[in-house]
Amino acid sequence: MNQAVHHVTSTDAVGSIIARFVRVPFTDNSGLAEIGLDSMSLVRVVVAFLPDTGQEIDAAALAELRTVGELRGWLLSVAAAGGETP
Amino acid sequence: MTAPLTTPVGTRPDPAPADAGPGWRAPLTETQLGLLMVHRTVAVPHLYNVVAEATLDPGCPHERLRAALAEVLAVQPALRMGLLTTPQPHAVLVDPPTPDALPLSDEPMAPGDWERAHRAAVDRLSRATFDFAAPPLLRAIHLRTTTGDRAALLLVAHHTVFDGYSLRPLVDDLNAALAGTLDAGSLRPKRERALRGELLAQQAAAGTPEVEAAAVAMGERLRSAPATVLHPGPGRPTETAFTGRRAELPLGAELSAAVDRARVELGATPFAFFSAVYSAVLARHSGNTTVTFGSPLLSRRTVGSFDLCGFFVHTLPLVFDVDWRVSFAEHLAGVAAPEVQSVKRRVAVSFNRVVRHAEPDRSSNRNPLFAAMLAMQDSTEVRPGGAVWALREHGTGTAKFDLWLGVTPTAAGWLLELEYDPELLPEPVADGVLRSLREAVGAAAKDPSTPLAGLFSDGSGVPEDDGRHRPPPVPGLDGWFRHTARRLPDAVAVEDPAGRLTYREVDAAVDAMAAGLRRRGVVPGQVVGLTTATLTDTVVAMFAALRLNARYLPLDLGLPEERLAYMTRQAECRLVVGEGAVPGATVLSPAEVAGDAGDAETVEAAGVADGTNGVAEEGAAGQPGAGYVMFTSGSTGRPKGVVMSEGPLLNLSAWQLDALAMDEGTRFLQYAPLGFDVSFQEIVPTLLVGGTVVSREPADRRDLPAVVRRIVDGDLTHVYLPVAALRPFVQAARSAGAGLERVTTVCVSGEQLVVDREIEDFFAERPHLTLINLYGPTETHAVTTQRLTGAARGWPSHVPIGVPVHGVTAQVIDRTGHLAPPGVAGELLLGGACPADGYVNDRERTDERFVPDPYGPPGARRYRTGDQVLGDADGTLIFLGRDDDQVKIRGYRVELGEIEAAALAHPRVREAVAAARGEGAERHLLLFVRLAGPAGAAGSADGVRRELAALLAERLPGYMVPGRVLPVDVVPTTGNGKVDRPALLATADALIARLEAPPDPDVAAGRPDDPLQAQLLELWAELLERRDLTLDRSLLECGAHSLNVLSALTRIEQRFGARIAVLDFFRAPTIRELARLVEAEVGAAAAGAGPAPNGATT
Repeated sequence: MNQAVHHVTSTDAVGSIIARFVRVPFTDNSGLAEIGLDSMSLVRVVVAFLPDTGQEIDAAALAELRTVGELRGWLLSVAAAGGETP
Repeated sequence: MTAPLTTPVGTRPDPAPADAGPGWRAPLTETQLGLLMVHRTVAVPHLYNVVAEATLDPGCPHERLRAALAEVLAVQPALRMGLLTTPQPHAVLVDPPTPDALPLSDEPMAPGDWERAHRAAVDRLSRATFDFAAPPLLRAIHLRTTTGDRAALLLVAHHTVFDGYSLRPLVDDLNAALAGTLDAGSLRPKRERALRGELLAQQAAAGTPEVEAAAVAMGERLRSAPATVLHPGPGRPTETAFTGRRAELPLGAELSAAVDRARVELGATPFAFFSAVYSAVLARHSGNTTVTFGSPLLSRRTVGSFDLCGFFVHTLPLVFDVDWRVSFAEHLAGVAAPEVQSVKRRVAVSFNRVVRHAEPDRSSNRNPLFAAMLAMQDSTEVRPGGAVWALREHGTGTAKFDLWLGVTPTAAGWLLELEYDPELLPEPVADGVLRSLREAVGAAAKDPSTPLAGLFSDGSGVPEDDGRHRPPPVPGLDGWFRHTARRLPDAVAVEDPAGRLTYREVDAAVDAMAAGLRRRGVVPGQVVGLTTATLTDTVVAMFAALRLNARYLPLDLGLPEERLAYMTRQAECRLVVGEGAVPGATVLSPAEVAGDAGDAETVEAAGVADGTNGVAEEGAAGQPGAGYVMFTSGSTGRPKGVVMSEGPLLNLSAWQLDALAMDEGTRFLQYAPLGFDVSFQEIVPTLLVGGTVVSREPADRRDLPAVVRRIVDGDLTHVYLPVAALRPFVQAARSAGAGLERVTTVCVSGEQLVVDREIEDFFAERPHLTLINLYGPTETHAVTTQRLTGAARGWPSHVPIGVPVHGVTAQVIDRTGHLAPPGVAGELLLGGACPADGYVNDRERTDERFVPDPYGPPGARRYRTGDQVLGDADGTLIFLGRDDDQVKIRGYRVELGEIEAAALAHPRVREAVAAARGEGAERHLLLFVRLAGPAGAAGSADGVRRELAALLAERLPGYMVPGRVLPVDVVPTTGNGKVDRPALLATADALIARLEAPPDPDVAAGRPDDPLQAQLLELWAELLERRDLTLDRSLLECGAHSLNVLSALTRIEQRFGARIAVLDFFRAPTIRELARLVEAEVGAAAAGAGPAPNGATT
């Protein structure tokens, strides 16, 4: 993750899902609370991203996520562990 | 109606459960089981109803809504789920009802009827009851106007199948069904599989080592935190009917924007922000600096569960340390946000599991872990474009918690709602919480750097005084006395066994003694010691000191020499009138002082001749030099000499004459030792009004039968006793058959007054008597009173200290430093006319306790009592205890008097004293009792002890039930007539050893003595997988908890036909008690009055 560049990241799969729930521009460095992604919206992002309805979400890990970048990394790793990527 | 917990015939589960379609079967969650348990415990079957309202497109015809709702039920299996508890707890599904069979009623109406019909519909749904074995656990009403301009779908679901989040999938599916886009056929099996998958995932996650470790940690944290009790105080109900009231606090657009700005700036979630505010509000209103509240957290695990209705919530405790000095921003960042984060990490832990490890008091029907709740309600937003236009939840007229705060984002901004139980929080108290909440949110949002204490302002006004006052004819005590002496020269002023003295005689003797004192160099403000032996000499010496604008200092020759030396040295007292020897001072007899006065000379004359020598002119206002010095009998450290001046004493006298209805006919018993300030109230006001002060002697102070004879024979009208003497007085008067017809007023003071039936009955039989409970430290005069008469029955056992006397401002200052809101405990500070000058020759301790009074005029002072009190909903002050020696057991404030009052209800108990000993977790209660009847009747004493234990368990919350009841022969008292608890506690170990010396071998081994006990023992041994259970050991200590208790009680019901209330079990969780309960229940059923066995609904 490049700390210096505030590149817009809403063009990939994760980013475009986040963009559905957020009304302000954001980067990987954006804090989730700062861009208004509350815990309920966060759950909706996760549910929208993960295709396997039987897959479990680790709520404790979810609670640790602070930035868009962390959310992206976590989603990709969970999806990979679930055996599929969107 | 109660729900059956057995499997209905015809739905016996298959051996191999299916994940969809017929044969679907899944485990219940711990949380669902917990709720079933509460359902069985609490006699409010609709307590866990969730009532919601969807505002509908009024264009939607009823039949279309009916068909759509039927489709929703098809794809939401939880709404067709039944909850069964035998043979093992499990869930089953029924087929979706046809549209016609839906529990949905169509209620069209004229537009004008909307409000009424809407209220009635919400009310009806709120009270709906469900049979857990007969799904759907849902009812709905389609409310609509016939003009087609307004429509709503109101629905109720039982919480076991529906949490707050469920509103979201429900509305999504309803919108889709109404739009014709819901593919019910393909969704139904998917959703059934998803629900089962989620329930299995919940089961698998429930007992992992991580979850267990987190539950242990949460339990430990809760055990070490004090209980957050709102509106604490004696007589607080331990059980309520769970009635709820709601109050709304919409923050409005402007404040809501400020809240959001502040929390985004601080990087906090709404949950963390409102937790920070709420924890401060709860800290203020509970008087604690550590507070606990619960919050429901989404505990859904699988991706698919987020499309489902269901009950996947873990309500978990959050614990906050509140430091009043730190800023709101620091509290949020340093305490609230980390706590919220920490609980989110532990969201897999169920409430029941925390209860298991927190080992809370289970004797109440209230929530065992927390009294307060914060619910973030974020599922009521609706997406535009659907047939559902808006969504909201309704209160159901119930309160599961003492106080519940709901926070909902709405289009108009944040909506805060308080729901409270008015039995615990009367409306003025709840209003106070709402005010605190409003000001704290505002201050936190506008300036997060505000210290926590500064989020609040004064929560009430200074209480008004009682307005009782008889204005003095002249503004000085001695002047007033002389005024009366001239008016009634031949009236009797003082009576003691030596004889009577008229007002003229007393006045002349005072003159003579004052002259003698003056010649010996006594000047205004000087301290003159008194060791006078008779009441007459005492009265004369007191007024002689006052006549010289000097102070009298009572000295009790019974005190150790060292202490007397300290007192005279500290007060710079070199001259003593009376008898005996006092170290550091010259003692002169009254005759010696007055005798050398010279023939015709009077002080009055001398005063005229030599005005500079400070003899009080009649009419000289409240001389600063006149008054007394009294030493407080501090239990530790050096005693403090309180310098009391004429101003407060005049105020007290003027109040007392009116409040105690005193006049020339008053005959006041002089009972108190001179060294206690009560003696002033007995003597001086009586002599100001022209009444007679009557010596207690020859009766001994401790011989109450003799005192009663003196009261009757002496035609006394006013009696003032220490609290500890009231019961012996009442018993003595009853034994003597004394009607006390001449007495009008009985005053008591000195410690917390606890009354019981015996005392109340005594006054009811003598309705002409007024009992006045007075409160006031030596550093002020008597400052508050509560009046009771037998004509108005229903006395509170813990008698309030009442309302301030005239001229006194009584301020209850809470932990934030502001005047406490109603129902909030705080330190009592006393201002206005009452504070003394301070402590004699002790500037440092004076400045510490006598402080500036910002509520008075410039220069005003107030005295910090160190006493915790609270103003009740109607402003009456209730004494809670000292700051420094509060009795707390497992975090609960314990009122010893309440335990004693409960014990006194037993007919054999003559006196009862509760006391606490041990520290921290070892701290426990003992009850000492003096029993009526022949002493040493060991067998009968044992019976009484057992009966008492049962009686106390029935009447008191579990944490207040003493561990042991110890009979004693006498209850020792201290010098000033208060019960000597340390002396009693010192004998405790010996008493216990004596009681438990001859062990009963059967009981020690815990062997059952009847077949029922044996069967119950077997049942529990099986359930807990332990062989070491005994009849009297607490099953909770052996591993019983809310979930296996439910199983045990279900089995007992099946085997013995006895339905045992869960709460009854928790009150006395032993095999012996359980057997007793089963027998009582079976007996009642056999008599044809009890419930039918096997859980048949009644």
